[in-house]
Amino acid sequence: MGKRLILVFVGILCFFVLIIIRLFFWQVANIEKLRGIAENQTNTFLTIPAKRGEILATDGSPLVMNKRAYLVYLEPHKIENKDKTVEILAKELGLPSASISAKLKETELRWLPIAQKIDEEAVAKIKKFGLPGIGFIEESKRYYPEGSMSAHLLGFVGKNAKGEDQGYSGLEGYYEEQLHGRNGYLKQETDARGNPILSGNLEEVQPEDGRDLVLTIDKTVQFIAEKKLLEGIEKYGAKGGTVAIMDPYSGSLLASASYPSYDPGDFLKYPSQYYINPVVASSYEPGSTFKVLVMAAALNEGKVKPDTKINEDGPITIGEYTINTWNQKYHGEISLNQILEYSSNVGMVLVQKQLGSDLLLKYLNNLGFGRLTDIDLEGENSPLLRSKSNWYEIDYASASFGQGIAVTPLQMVRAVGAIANGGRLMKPYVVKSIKDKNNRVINISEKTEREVYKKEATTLLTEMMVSAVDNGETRLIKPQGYKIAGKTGTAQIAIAGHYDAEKTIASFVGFAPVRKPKFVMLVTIQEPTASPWGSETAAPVFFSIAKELFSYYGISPD
Amino acid sequence: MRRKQAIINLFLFGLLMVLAVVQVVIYNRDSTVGETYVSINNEVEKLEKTNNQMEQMIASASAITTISARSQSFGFSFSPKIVSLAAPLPIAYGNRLSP
Repeated sequence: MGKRLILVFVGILCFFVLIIIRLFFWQVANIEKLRGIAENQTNTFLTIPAKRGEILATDGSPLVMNKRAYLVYLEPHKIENKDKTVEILAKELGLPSASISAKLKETELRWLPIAQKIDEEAVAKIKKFGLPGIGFIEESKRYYPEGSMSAHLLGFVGKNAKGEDQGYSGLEGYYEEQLHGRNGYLKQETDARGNPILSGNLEEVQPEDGRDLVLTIDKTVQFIAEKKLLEGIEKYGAKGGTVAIMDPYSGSLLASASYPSYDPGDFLKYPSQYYINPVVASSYEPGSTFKVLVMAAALNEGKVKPDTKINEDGPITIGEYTINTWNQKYHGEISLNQILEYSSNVGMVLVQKQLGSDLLLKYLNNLGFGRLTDIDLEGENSPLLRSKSNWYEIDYASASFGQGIAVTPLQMVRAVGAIANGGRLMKPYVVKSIKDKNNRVINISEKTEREVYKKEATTLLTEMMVSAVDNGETRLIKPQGYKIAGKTGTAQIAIAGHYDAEKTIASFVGFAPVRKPKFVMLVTIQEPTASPWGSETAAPVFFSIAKELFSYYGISPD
Repeated sequence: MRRKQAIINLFLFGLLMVLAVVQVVIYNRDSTVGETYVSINNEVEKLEKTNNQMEQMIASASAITTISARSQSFGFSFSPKIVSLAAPLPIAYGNRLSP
């Protein structure tokens, strides 16, 4: 009897030991695995997307905002009527039905993305049909209240290799890190219906929204510049053009317009060369507009004085080259004022000879040519300035009237800005402050690169430029009552090692009002067909913009 | 003494039961209030969506390109005429001002 009792006891004991071992297996050895399975069943993980920062004009009004959009996906195993689903999606999304059908046939995936950045209106129309197997994930897309205005400045948002939103070109590209922000996440326990259990585990990391950029760009000035430039391009039958308007005292960009342009909200429809901002990336030979910089240098060094006379007797020969005036007219003894009024190439060569080659190169370097300006825009480029060993006498001579040297419109307007503000070369910039969602603001201050000219030299040069406008080729078209300092330019275009006989880049650079310049502006018109001359194409565009700006800024006549 | 002990035991037992029921009620409420939380969140999302749409509408309506187009349709002219009184007046104005 005793033995049976012991046997039963041992049997029960073994049974319980087995249970304990099994429990140990599930509750200790496999705890992590089971915990993971339980978490997957009861926990949901949601990414909380960060909002991309907005881009605002100087008055705080939005140039770029965010708009709700959706990624449309299919769950092929849930689709009941394939043909109807494809037909409706093709119609509402504007996609070929063949491509949607092909995607459905080829894949065995249970989740298939079809289209991204779809507007709410289209999604609402699709939802009305109530078709199973179509789902939507909220995302955001850029919205441009001003349409394609300032496209080159703003840039656009595309996708990177990981399929994430990324800014390219202009401000979107340069300030990608500031604008992007950081996604957050929410991990919480949910019940069988998917509702959150508030007393359960909750882990939340708030998203860090992107920062907003406040620009120096004045929307009204930008609008005026774009409108007048487009009118000018159409009127003069030109291939394209640029307008750059800057505050000469701070270096802040007030407006930057260029054509041809593109719609940043639909950038894929345009050729990629349209994404390049010509104001900061395209080079051109400045022609006679460059004369003001060389003249200022000569005055600054004391190599010429206001009463200096130059003999413009006839063409100048340098080696095998002959330099003429643009209209083959020679005026004998002329003043420095008249060199600019007549836009005399011969006069400028003689001024350059007074200045000397070394000093000319020094000023070209000091004015920032051959280097990037470091403006806060992605895509800036700069033509190189040849090293001194590659400069010959003819190069110095032709540089004095702006040929044989390449600059970008931004470099040119910045250099003339140094004359307008009394001699300081300013660093150009577009963003004046960066704001985060907690209203913390980082202000960007203006920066003086260096002093290039003395105040006295710039004052003298300004008077000469006013005289050039009042008495030169533009005297009949300039706005009456205002003193505008300016210079026309007509540069031949170099093609395959020689200058084209007919094609030109017409330009006009200037600033006003001269007593305290509010703006410095450069207008370039590329290959105008109505007339090749800057005085007949770029100058009228400049003056039409200037008239609007006088009215806008409330600048009274002198 | 035994009676006192019995009363204390009964009291403690009763308290235990009450607290157990309270715990069940509270946890149950917490577990099911998630539904209300979701519906409030949905409401907030709806309002945010409407807010966002209105922001876009305001931005679009106050865009300078919109205002310019609308003002031109109302007959406003674009180019200001600057008349300088310092320079001699054009003949037309001169005739108007003369007695």
